[in-house]
Amino acid sequence: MTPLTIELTTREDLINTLHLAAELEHNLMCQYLFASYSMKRSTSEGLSEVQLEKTRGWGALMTMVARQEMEHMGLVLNLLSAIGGTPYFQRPNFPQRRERYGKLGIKSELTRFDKETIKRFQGFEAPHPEPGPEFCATRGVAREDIRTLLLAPQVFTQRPVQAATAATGGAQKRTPEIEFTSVQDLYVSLAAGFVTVVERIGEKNLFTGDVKAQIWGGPGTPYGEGSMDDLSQYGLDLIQIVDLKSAIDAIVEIVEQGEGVLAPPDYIEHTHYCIYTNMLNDMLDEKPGFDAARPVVRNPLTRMHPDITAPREVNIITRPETREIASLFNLTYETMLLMMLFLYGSTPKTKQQRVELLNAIFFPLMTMFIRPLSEILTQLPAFKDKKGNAGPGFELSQDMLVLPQPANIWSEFQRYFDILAWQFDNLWIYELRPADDPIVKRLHYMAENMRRLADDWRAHWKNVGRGE
Amino acid sequence: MWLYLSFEGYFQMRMATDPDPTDEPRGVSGYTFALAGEPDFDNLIHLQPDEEGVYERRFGYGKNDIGPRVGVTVRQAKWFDDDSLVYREAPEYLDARVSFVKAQLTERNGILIRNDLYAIDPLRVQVRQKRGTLVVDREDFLDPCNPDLPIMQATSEMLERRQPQGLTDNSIEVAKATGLPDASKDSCINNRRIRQRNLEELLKHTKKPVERAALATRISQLNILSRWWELSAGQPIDRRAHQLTLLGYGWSTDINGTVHENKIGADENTNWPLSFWMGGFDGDALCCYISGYLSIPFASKA
Repeated sequence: MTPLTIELTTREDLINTLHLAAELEHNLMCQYLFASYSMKRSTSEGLSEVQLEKTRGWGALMTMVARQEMEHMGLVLNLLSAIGGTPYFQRPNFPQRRERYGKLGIKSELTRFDKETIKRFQGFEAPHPEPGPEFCATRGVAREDIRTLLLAPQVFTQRPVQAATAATGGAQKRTPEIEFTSVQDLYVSLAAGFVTVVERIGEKNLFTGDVKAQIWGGPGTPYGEGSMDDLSQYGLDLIQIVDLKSAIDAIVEIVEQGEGVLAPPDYIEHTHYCIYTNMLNDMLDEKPGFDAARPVVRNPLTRMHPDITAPREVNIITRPETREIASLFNLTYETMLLMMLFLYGSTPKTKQQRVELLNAIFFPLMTMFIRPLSEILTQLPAFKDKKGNAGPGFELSQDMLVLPQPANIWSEFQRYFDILAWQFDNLWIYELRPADDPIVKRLHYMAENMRRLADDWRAHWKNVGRGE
Repeated sequence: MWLYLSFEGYFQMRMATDPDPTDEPRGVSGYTFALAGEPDFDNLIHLQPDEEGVYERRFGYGKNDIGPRVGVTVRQAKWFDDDSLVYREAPEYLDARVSFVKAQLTERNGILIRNDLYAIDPLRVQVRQKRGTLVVDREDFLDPCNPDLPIMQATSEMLERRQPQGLTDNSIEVAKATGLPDASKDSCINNRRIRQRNLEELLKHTKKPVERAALATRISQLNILSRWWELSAGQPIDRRAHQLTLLGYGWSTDINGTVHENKIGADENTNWPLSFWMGGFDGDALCCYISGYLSIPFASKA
């Protein structure tokens, strides 16, 4: 194994590093989704049937990778919760300069699907040091050897004392810079850190978190059947973290799926790094002039945010009807994050409340609103006076993710749903385009769904059809 | 007096699967796709091959072109005299064609229905004799007091009338109906591998780039992963194989609405019980099996 950068020796080290991991997974997920939603979806957008099929194949792979980033974030939140940390959904708005993530070298920006973007994604997922072109075609690591390799004594290039600040740059400040040299370095360091801290303070003293605050799937999951009892159908596995073994299992899963440096031979082609490597090779083989993506501008936002470190790279959406839909997207996204913050938090909740939150978030909000709104935005003009389409900005207001008092939380979510339902019903675009316009029809479909969701939330899901 | 019609066969269902949104027209992140050269999904269930919107695929080259063929027909037909409790055959209805007009399986990714217990809507059943004569045609209302009520405004009780009772994995009943040797995971996976090999053979004999592109996607989708992260799921199975023996059982609706055709003098003042199961969805063929009964009452002996 490559020498690691930082030795993590305390619970605080682990929590700080897990906060950084959560932020990174969240960040990558948004970038992957943005690129995926920018892709053309019809021959009417200038693609031949064969090119459309190729484009769809790339899109399917990218959404799968994005789903697994969501899963990684879920595993990180479970790891945090297991050792007494708090859920972490913070991240800076896009775009950010490369320096924001120190030696990780991650450039955070929202860009459409093209070779440059996929090359950047390939870099995010690359094993460290980046392997030669034969990597994805060669055999990986035998499954039984993975854990041995991961848990073998590690060599570190820094002393432990630097770890806590180096992980997140301190509680508030971003200096000194993040010292991890790659995502792989971060996760392998975490695995080693869990072993070290358990050796130092004991397993029982480390895993003191509320296990009920974790979200996990598989047989026996308390979160309902149907989808959560077998997440493998979506290429996912969310496990409960209760001890060192399950913590290491979770980290193994993340590094297997991502960089592939610890992936078994029959899985290596499905790792994120190899998916992006093969996709890039595929794109390079295509004839010039084949553009699989809509003309979406970089970092299309509704407004400038004070935490943005690359303001010149922002494109403010000036077309009013598009900006209104972009704002609606942001509110939907914020609502979803707020609900997840409550779901993963340790505020006491009944099992029914947990299931209700999951039932609102995982399928309805993610698949029926976040994605369709994103796809619509990439079809709409961003500006009044120049060319270029908009896209989902995943904007976070600075004061978001602050929950109200637990007693008011259910009515607060109701307020969000009611506002969203009203906004979906009253978009300006309805006055500008005919009723049979495909975008208008799709928005009406979403409006109908949001009204139903709002009504059902009010009725505690008494109107929804029977589930098992 | 009752006329009992037992029907079964494959129907086509060209629709997106989660996590695609339910209005996704061609499929991206689920496992069903409108492929190169094919029209967008219509989200309708087609019980007859000549219905507009059916798009049947090839499953192999030559004698290996083996797979589901759309066509739901009456396999048993009997008169039942509820006074004398005597059954007699009704051969005039054998091979009659059953249709659900413009029906959809609806769930809207958990907004309307959860856990894949799809509601069928609209529900209007037609039976045509083998020669094409429309014999009966009746629709069901979610709310008989408000026939125009859209499903998005239905109460849970209204939805439940149109939902299955539940789902069963590894159903022997489904395996038997669709010709799988048994309902094991191995049989499901083996079935997908045979389909994949047959498509690879078909690809060798296919020249047109559009057809080749569609076949390439199908072949790649039939790459059933041999391993997963089996940390939480025990022995998971890829849903593209798992669906082959998944059974949705217990749809049971007493058809209560307008009778649009009644050539046999059925009792229009009594509801017509319709019950069926669906299962064995073949995501490559976009076809699913249905087996059920339509019970038609008569006020007096017909």
